[in-house]
Amino acid sequence: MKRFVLLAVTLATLAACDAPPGVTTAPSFAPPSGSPPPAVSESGGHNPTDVMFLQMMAAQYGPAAELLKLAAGRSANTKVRELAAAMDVTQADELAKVQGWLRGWSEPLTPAADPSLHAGHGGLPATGPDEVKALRDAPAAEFDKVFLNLLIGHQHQAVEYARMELTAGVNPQVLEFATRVDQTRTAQVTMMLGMVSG
Amino acid sequence: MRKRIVLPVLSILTIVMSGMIANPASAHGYISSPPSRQANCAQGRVANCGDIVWEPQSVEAPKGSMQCNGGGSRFAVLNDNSKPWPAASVGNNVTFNWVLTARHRTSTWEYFVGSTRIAVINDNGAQPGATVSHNVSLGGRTGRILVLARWNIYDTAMAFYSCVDLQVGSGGGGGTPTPPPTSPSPQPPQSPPPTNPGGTWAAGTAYAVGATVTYGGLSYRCLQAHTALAGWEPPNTPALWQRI
Repeated sequence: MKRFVLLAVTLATLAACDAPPGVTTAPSFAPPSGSPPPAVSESGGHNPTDVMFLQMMAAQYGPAAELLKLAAGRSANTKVRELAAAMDVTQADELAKVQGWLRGWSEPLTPAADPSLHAGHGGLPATGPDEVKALRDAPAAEFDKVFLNLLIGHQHQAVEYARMELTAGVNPQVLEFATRVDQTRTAQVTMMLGMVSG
Repeated sequence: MRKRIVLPVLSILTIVMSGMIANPASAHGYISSPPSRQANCAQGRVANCGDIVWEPQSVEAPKGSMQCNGGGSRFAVLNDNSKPWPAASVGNNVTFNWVLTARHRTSTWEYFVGSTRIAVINDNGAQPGATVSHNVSLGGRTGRILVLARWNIYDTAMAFYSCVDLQVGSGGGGGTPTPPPTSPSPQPPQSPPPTNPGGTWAAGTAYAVGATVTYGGLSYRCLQAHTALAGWEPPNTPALWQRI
């Protein structure tokens, strides 16, 4: 019974995420006949999970970039600074790619604003202005601890998004990207857990 | 419109058929430092932990359990006291730091040693702040102890569980991990990361600006100092590597 309810909720949220309230988009997988095929069609098409995953990732990059730039500049630990700087530049590349896919599919670049729509797959990003402010205001002695605990949670969330995509997405390129998100974030979390406990 | 519904249904069927009933939303939080058992698993400091390695934040179970996994069969490895869990050296006052992936409204945070509750923090249903840390007195206990922490969610019947192994001394106070009392396979001394000039790209290697590697038969030069990790292969990271 619980399983059924869970699935029903997931079903509802998946459907809802595809159609954010107030945003009218053509169903991406059924282009109106006569219009040129979307640029991605030769690479295997996509489904609402692919779109949802990319939108959730897109929403994640902004706050992460702020945390990463702060850490790359302020951490007293060389390893933390170096990891933050490398994550910052690699995620900037990822964001460009994510936005490219969404634009190519004529999909909104951001997820629907209502958090309850996303409760079934990882929730909206847990990092926002409050968390960035907390890091900005952190005293020097607490800085690395605050940064690492915030970013570990943030990267874990990307793993959750990636696993949703790997379970239900269909686009081969996006699936490959999700695999890399899963790998890199898991490795980063491992490194950061070492830093925060050492 | 109809197709829009059909596709999610197909996705759901796929989920069911692949046996993936675990919902990603079941992930929420754990203690990162001093490292909890799931943090030690995720970090690879304790081997053969199973699925917990991928989701240390998912130890969610009905409220009220006194077990490290919250009861039930999932993540039972966390209850196994025979595993070589490292114990962090601490003093009598310990700051427990949490990683959260979702900021649930919270009723209480509880800390136990054995069956004794040594601390409770009542959030009265508030949402946790950006960071969550609790300073807890161990009440003069010394030696090796196991602390069980429970994060009780305000609006569900569930809690998140984290167990932390501690070595309590008089002089401590930090969170420096010490090796477990018995070390079945001593780690080799940590050598400085190889610079690996001109070698094959390898995860775990520290690369300096200008270092060159080969990957997939092509050569690359490092643009920014970093430690390589799986998923950061040179062709995937133009910000870190330039083809030469």
